[in-house]
Order: sequence, then C-alpha cells, then structure tokens
Amino acid sequence: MLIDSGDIPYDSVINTDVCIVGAGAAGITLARQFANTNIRVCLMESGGFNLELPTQNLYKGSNVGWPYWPLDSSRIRFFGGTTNHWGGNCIPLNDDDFEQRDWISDSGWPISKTDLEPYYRAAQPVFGLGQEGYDPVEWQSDSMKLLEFSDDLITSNMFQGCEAKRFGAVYRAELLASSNLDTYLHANAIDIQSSENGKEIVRIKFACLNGNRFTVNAKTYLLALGGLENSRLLLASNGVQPKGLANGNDLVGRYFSDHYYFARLGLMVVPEANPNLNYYHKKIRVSGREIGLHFELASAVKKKKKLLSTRIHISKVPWRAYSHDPGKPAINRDFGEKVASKLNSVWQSLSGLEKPNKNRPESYGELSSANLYSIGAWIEVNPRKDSRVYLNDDKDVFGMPRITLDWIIANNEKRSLMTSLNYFARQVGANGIGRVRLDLDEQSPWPWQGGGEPGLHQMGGTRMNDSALKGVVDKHCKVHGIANLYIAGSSVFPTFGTANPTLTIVALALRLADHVKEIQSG
Amino acid sequence: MDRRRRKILCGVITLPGTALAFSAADKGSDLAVSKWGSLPDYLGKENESSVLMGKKYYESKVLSQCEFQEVLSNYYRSIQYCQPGERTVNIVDRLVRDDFRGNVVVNIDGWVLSKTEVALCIRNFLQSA
Ligand SMILES: Cc1cc2nc3c(=O)[nH]c(=O)nc-3n(C[C@H](O)[C@H](O)[C@H](O)COP(=O)(O)OP(=O)(O)OC[C@H]3O[C@@H](n4cnc5c(N)ncnc54)[C@H](O)[C@@H]3O)c2cc1C
Repeated sequence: MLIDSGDIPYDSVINTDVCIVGAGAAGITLARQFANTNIRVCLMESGGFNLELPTQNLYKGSNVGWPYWPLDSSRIRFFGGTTNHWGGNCIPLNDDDFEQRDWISDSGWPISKTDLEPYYRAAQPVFGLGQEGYDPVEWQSDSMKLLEFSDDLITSNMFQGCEAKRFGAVYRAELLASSNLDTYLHANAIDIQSSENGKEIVRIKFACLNGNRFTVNAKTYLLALGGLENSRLLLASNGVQPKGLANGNDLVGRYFSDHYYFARLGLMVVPEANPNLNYYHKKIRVSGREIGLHFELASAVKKKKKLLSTRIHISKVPWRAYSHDPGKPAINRDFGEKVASKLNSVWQSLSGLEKPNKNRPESYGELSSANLYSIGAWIEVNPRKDSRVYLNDDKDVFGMPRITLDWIIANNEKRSLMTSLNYFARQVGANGIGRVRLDLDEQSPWPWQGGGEPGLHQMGGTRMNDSALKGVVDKHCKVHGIANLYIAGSSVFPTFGTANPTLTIVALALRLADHVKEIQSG
Repeated sequence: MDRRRRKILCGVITLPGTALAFSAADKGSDLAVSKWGSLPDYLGKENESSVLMGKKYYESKVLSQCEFQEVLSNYYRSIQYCQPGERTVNIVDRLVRDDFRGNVVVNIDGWVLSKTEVALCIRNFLQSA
C-alpha cells in the first residue's frame, strides 16, 4: 500500500514488524526481500516520487575538509534515493579490500569476499545484470582483447554498466503491489528513541514538511538513509545518550571516506594505434553488455610496496585539447608537446623501418590523437578516525542539526598514487607499449589541481567491526549493544578499496535481509 | 650500399623513445640494415630533432658522467656479445625494456624514460656537436 504521510492523523502510531527507513538502493533492496512474506514491513521515505526542493534542502550541510560537492547536490532525497541520478557502474570490491593490510591502519573487514560472494551473485539481477563475473579475462573474445603486461604486475579490471539504474522507477510497482508492505512517502525520520538502558529501540519519530508528526513502533529497525545520513540520524538521536545513539565509543560519523578521481595525472604516448588499448578508454559493449576496463597494480605489488589501491584509467585525448588546458603548467605544454611529437615520429620511423608502409602519415609535429591518452585514477583512501561527519549548530526545519563534513586525504594517498603511477609508467615502457609522462610529483600542490572530483560514494561513519570499541555495527550490520537496530548502506564499509559501492551495498542488503528474516522467524 | 644509405647509417637510426646513433662498426648493423630495405625520406629530419633531445638531456644533467659511461658500456657490451645476426634495434629494445623493468629510469619533465635511451640520445648529441 502507498501512503502519503502528510495525510495520516497527527500523532498516529504505526505498529509493524520491520521498519525500513530510506528508499534508496539499500532500502528498496531490503524491502523487496520481505515483499509477499508474512512479515509486516513499513518502508519510510523522506521524499515523494519526484524531486521536491524543500525535501532536498534537508540534505544541506557544510564542508571543512578535502574539496567536496555541496552536500545537498551530492545525493538525492526522494523515492529511489541517489540511484535517481547515479552512473550505474557496478564492480565488486577486490579480495584484498576485505583483508587487513598491515601497512594500512585500521584496514580490513570482519567478513571476507568469500562470505559476500553468493550475495554479489544474487545482486546481479537486481541491477538487470547477468551472471557473468568481473574477471575481464573471461570477457575476452575476437572482438575484445586485453592489453597484456608481462610479469603480471599490472592487471586489467572491469566494471559492468547496469540496465536497471533507477531503483525507484524500476521497483515501485512491485513494492506497491506487495500486500505485507506499506510505503510511506514524505516521512522524515527525525529521532530514534531507545529504551532507558539504551539496549533496544522502542520507536522512531517521523515528521512531514506539512507539519504532520507520527511514530513507528517495530520489532526491528533497518536504517538505509545513505552514507552520510545514517550517521546524522544516530548522532541527532541523543535523547538517552547525549553524544548520540550508539556513540558511546565516539565512533559514529568517524572513518568517513569517499573515492576521489584525479584527472589529467599524465599522458601516455603510444607509437602506433594499439587495438587492444581501444577497449580501455571508453565503455564498450561485449556480448550485448556494457563494460569498462581499467588497470590496477597486482595485489602482490601493492603488498610489497605498501600501497593503497589505485584504479588507473586512460582516455583518448586530442593532443591540442590537452596541451592548451589553462590549468597545465607551461613547461609541460612546451617541452611535453615537443617530446610527444618526437616520440610519435621516432616510433613511426621505427615501424617504417620494420615494415615499410607507404601510407604512413608524413606530417611532423602534429600528433594523431589515436596515439595519445590522458591518465586519470581513482584512489583508495586510508581509513582515518579523524575523517568524519559531525553535527553542527545549524538546524533544518525539523530542528535536526545539519552536518559538517571533514574528509581527510593526506600525503599517504599522494605517495601511494605517485608510486602506483610510476609503476604503471615503467610497465608501459617495459612492455613496449609506449612512454608515460607523469604530471604529479613531490612538488605538486595537494589537493591536486590538475582536475578531479569526489566519486560521490559516501562511505564509513558507522563502520563494521567485530569489536564495539572499533566499530558501530557488527558483521551482520547490527548496531553494537542494541538488539534490534541494523544499518544498511556504505556507511558500514570499514575499508574502501576503489570499487564504486552500490553493488556491495546491495549485496550487503541482501545478506542483511536474510539475517533479519532468520531472526523474525524465531 | 648507396651514398644516401651510407650517410644515414653513420648518422641516426631511431628507436622507440630515443634516437640510436651507431657507426657501421657496431656489430650486427650491416646485417640489420640490409634487411630493412629503403629508409624513409624524413629520417634526416629525425636526426635533427634527436640531437635536440640529446642536448636537452645533456644540459639537464639527468645522468651523471659515471651513469652515462656505465649505461653506454652496458650497451657496447651487449652489442659485442649479442647473438650472431641479432639486430641492433632489437638489442636496444631489450636493454630499454630491461631498464624499465629494473627501475633504471630517469624522469625528465615528467617523462619516465629508460637510462639507456637517454644515454644514447646524449651520445648522439655529443657526436654531432
Ligand atoms: C552522480 C552520482 C553518480 C554515481 N555513480 C555511481 C556508480 O556509477 N556506481 C556506484 O556504485 N555508485 C554510484 N553512485 C553512488 C550511489 O548512488 C550510491 O552508492 C547509492 O545510491 C547509495 O544507496 P543508499 O540506498 O545507501 O543511499 P541513497 O540511494 O542515497 O538512498 C537513501 C534514501 O534515504 C532517504 N532518506 C534520507 N534521509 C531520510 C530520513 N531522515 N528519513 C527518511 N528517509 C530518508 C532518501 O530520500 C533516499 O531515498 C553515484 C552517486 C552520484 C551522486
């Protein structure tokens, strides 16, 4: 059933088995798992079916850390959540992202990739994807060949572009048709209230922008408000614990991170069109599916060199567009252009010597854009306790404190990125692919000013750890010390890797639903 | 060997990322050249720009005198002890790849280049000076 919360009687109390708050990728996935079961479920969503500015404004906040998008435009607050405008790129975390890496402080998950594997597979159809895996080797065919690096030091990795992008639109009818499930729109959770001893949640208070107020009492509460908002609601729910719900160990909001994409980190010049490279610089279709390829350092190299993960992307650029970028230092422009055209022509000479080709371009100095690639990279960020979301003094219309984001990316990430790119450059040379120019060096300003942006993959804040001293939720996503409160979404990620998070969010939501069903059935 | 080809042989033969200068005395070069057939017309221009590159490298002192000598001796040794019939172009290609593999590289204005290719460019510049 669909209910507009603005229309129900003031101060109503709704009783249910499971209360899911937030109807984004995580909340909708959870709700679907309970559809048509004998468990009564309420799905509570702040927005309606379309963007409404007063609701979106509830997301406003401030930023004092690493450059970030405004908080009210970096996520979407209506049915379907941020999937209403996400990119749809799906990729699982790597095996080593789950492991504790002794050179990365506070790294590691309390579950392994193997634990999540069945749920990753089950998540595929949620996105309209098939059962093909994420090993690009298996996608090779006559029409797609990977670039081979000797010594296996650089590997190719891939993402899949999904078909079912807008969760709200795709799953709305299915959810509304389910007899045990009530979807409430315009229902803003403003306070989670616990028992006196703080060990159990007894109700969640909701408010509507039209002034209505009501309460939901449930046996189990699942928070799925998105990466930042999960922390905000816990911190703001301070009726029993003054520092916020589940925040006895001062961990809520901490260990926040996103991924950062650095653009124009350098150039790769390739002597002559390398057909295999063509598969890396744009999304391609293979066997009817959309995929994208990129490069990563092999796990053993990261371990040996004590590196964070880096996803190296190349994109084809017309040389002139690149060299005339006003953001680029002049020295690179002049000398770089000379060297690049030089390299290009000497390679042409070489190929001419090896295999005479009458049609070879004779032009000097003008580069064929086929041979020039710009290098960009997604980086993994070290989990840090001081990288955080906290409440500030500003309040929204419900009197709920807004958040300040203080995201930290430090020199560790710069060092790791530089080393990884250097490694890549050497492998490109060692494999006779071409030559690389790196624009990021020790002296480069940090934050890098060559271009880039946050991935809008808000993670951390309610991190997962077996110990309540180190994490907010346990491995089942249950909040430590509270019997009936669970968290879904990337706020539980304790270590971030470089993978876009939503496939993992959905896999974790499927796993959480299984767990809650088990508990509900006694 | 016609005159033009001889002139070029004593000048510069280009390689990935560098310009390799060698004289007819370099082992294997005769054999290699006879396989290559006619050389492209624009190689003369190539010579000019490779010298420029060498100048740039030389003046920036990216390689110390000692490194320069060491890299070149390695190159000469490899030429001397190469397999019969192995072409100079392949020997240099191998040396350059080994440099990248072994982190024997220099960074010039951001370009990550093999020390061998840079040393050969410098040598070419010095020879032409
Ligand atoms: C431009 C852009 C591109 C992206 N591209 C990709 C990509 O290619 N691949 C990828 O994996 N990820 C991508 N993402 C990230 C992706 O959108 C998120 O990871 C995903 O949507 C998170 O799902 P979620 O359910 O945890 O949160 P959301 O989707 O944000 O859903 C949270 C829901 O909670 C509701 N809500 C919030 N507060 C309250 C409250 N107090 N009461 C009730 N309801 C509330 C919101 O209205 C919303 O519906 C992208 C994000 C952006 C912005």
